[in-house]
Amino acid sequence: MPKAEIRNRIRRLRFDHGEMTQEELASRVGCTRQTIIALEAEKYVPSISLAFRIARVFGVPVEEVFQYEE
Amino acid sequence: MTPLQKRAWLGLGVGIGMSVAILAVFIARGGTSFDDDLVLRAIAYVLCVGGLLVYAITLRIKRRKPGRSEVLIDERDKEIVRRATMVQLWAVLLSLFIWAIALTEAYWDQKSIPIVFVYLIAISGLIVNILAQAIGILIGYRRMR
Repeated sequence: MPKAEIRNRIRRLRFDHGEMTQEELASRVGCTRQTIIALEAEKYVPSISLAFRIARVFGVPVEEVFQYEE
Repeated sequence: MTPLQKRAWLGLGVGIGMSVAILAVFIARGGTSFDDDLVLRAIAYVLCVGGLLVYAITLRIKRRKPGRSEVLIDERDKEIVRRATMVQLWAVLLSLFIWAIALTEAYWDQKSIPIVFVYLIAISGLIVNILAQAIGILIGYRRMR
């Protein structure tokens, strides 16, 4: 599978939000910690629904979490 | 490791275990005697049904560590299962295709195929099904790690 073209700032945002753990973020958005790991490694592109849930946890627009790069 | 990964490793173990056990029984009792050997057939059935039962029962057991996220299966797991199902389908189709060509070529002159192969095709289909799903899931996780 080619590397995702969607970049994200989840790791940065987690640290900016009181060093939130991957486990805590996973719990709050309703996915597994392994999915957060895969997202941060940009090995997995989330569904729109999950992307919005992640953005909502950080209180920012979804574009601030995920960027599309051509 | 996610619950689905554990399940895939279990499937791989059950599939390999069933293959080895059935092969060992066939070697021990002589595969050619399958037609008349009721005990051999019974052991093969017990191994197949037993393997499936072990697989099915362990699938129902959910282990959750305290303090860990409540979600056991999420959208990424479902996507991996969806892809693994395609691997499973193609593997079973391929195994059936190989059986059909091999048997047709081997028994072309006799114009009939020994009944033992019907059992072997069924057993191998079952094992290929379990193994292919497990391998598909493990490859999926490796790629999305």
